[in-house]
Order: sequence, then C-alpha cells, then structure tokens
Amino acid sequence: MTLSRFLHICEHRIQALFRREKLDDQLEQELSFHLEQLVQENIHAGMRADLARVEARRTLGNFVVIKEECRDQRRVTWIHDFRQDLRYTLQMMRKHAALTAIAAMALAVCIGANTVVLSSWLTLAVGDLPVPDADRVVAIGTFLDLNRPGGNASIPEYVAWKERTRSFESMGASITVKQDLGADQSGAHPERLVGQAVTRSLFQTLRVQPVLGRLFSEDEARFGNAPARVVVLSQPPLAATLQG
Amino acid sequence: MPKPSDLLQGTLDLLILKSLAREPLHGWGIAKRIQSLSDEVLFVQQGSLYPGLHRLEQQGWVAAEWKNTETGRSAKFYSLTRDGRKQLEQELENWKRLSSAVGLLLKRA
Repeated sequence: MTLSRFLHICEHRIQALFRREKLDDQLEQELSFHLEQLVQENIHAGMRADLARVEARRTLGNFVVIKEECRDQRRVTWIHDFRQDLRYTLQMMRKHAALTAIAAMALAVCIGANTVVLSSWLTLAVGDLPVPDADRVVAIGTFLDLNRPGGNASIPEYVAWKERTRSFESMGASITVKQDLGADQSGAHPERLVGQAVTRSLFQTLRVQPVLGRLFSEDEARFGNAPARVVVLSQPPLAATLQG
Repeated sequence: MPKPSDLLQGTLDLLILKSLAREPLHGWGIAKRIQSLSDEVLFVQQGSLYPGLHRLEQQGWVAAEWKNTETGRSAKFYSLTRDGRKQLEQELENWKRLSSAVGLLLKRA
C-alpha cells in the first residue's frame, strides 16, 4: 500500500468516526440528486410528473437499504453500533436497578461457587507438591512430540541451562538409577532398588531438608567411576528395611 | 432488442474505474456512461452503484469532490486517484486474463 493511499484511507476512517452526520447528509444529497435526474429523464420520455417520480423511486430501489449499504462501506459502523448498544445497556441497567442487582449477585455467587469447586477439585485430584512454594516449581525437559507428556533432558542440556538461564532461581536434575543391594557371602539374594541420582542443587531447589542425618555435600556429588557412598532415603518403609 | 444484462459479479469496480479514467463524473454520470459506452447492453443496478462507489472511495482508489453541475446543482464528483489508475490497470489485466480463458474454454468445449 502506498503512503498516499494509506493517508487517504485514514482520513476517511476518521471522518466516518467523527463527522458521521455530515457524511450522512452528503449521502442523502447524493442519492436525491440521482433520483432527481431519473425523474427528469422519465419526464423527458413523456411521463406524467407524479408517475415519473414513482417510477424513478422504483428504478433506484430501497433508499434506506442503499444508505445502509453505503454506510457499511465506511468500515466503522461497528464502533457506532457498539457505542449505541453500550449506551442502551447502561440505560436499561439504570432503569431496572433491582433486576441488575439480582443479576450481578447471581453472577457473583456462580463465579464464587465455580472457583471453590474447581480449586477444591484441583487440590483433591492433582494435589500440591509437598514442598514450600509449590506453585513456583516447574519441570523442564525437551520434548520430541509436544502432544505427548513426559519430557527428558540430557546432562549437557542441564548444565547449559543451569549456567545460562536467568529465569529460574535454582535448578536441579535427577536421573533414574537402579542398584542391586543386599547380596552377601551367605547367598542372600540382592534386592533391586530403583532410585534417582540427583544433583545437590535439587534439594536446594525444592527447599527440603532431611528428617534424619544429612544430605550429601558438594564434594560427594560426583558421577562416574567413583561415586560417593551416600544415599538419601525417601521412603520410610525402605529405611526401616535397611536398618533391620 | 434484448433486455439489458445485469453486470457480472465483480465487474462493477472495473467499469466504474474505467468510466472515470477520462474525466471526473457524478454517480448518475457514471451510470449513464456505462450504459452508453456499452451500447445500452450493460445496465448498472442503480442501487448497487453507490455502495460500490463508496467502497472504492474508502479504499482510496477514487477521490470525491462536491462541485456544481451544468444546471447549477451541487453534486458529488468522483475522480481516479493515482493509486486508482494503477488499480484500474490491474483490474484490466485480470479481466483480460479471465475473458480470454472463458473464450478459450468456449472455443474448445
């Protein structure tokens, strides 16, 4: 679109918004002029003056409809309509104050009831995470398919995010690990334990402290050939078994 | 003599722009010009002419000015803007493409 055309269109829209009466007057004049020409043409063709006018009106069509169609071309009709609807609504609300109050109260009660039902359902069905500020905790992962739940991330990705992201106060990672524990010389069977290898920062992020003992130190947070012999037990029954 | 034909959908803009190419005209003048240039074959529904003109004006293809006619009456005269001239060329191009395609089809079918 050229600049001149853009300005031309803007000028027309502004006129249509603020000088509506003048434009309507001009439209009326324009159509009357056309009608008058038609009447003259009919008279020249030998028609009686009154018949000529009736015929001219018939040829031109419904004045009201034509005017409405012309106004629609200004593309701002909806603003006028909206303003009119709003004014009418407010008038009606003021006129029927009691009804308005009842409607407003009904709405308030419904919205309130909905909120209560939904939030209690959320707590019951989903439940909060058992950590402080649970609403500030998010799980981050990369997704192959956004429509499928359960994203994962690689260790390099985690390291990069942790170093470069400024959006999170703290970040931790965990990887599922399986260990066979409990085998001894007497031939007792080992027990397979499924756990998580976690970064130290995960506890910091979730702001949890152990009920008993301590968490592992930065020094013990190693991965690879010589993992530190430290575990954090999360399930009380399991802790009891190991103690026994 | 056959009855004047109603305009093909979408050709009104082209005919309005073309009839304004030579000189500014009012709505009545445009209707008459289309009728006379087509040897009375094409007949613009006079009621649909004005919404069409106002649309072209809103789109910036034509500009309007109030002037006196020869009989001294004040009338709204429309003229092509520079963008309107370009639009006319474009519409002519489209029309040529369409009519030659239809012609081809009728010849081959």
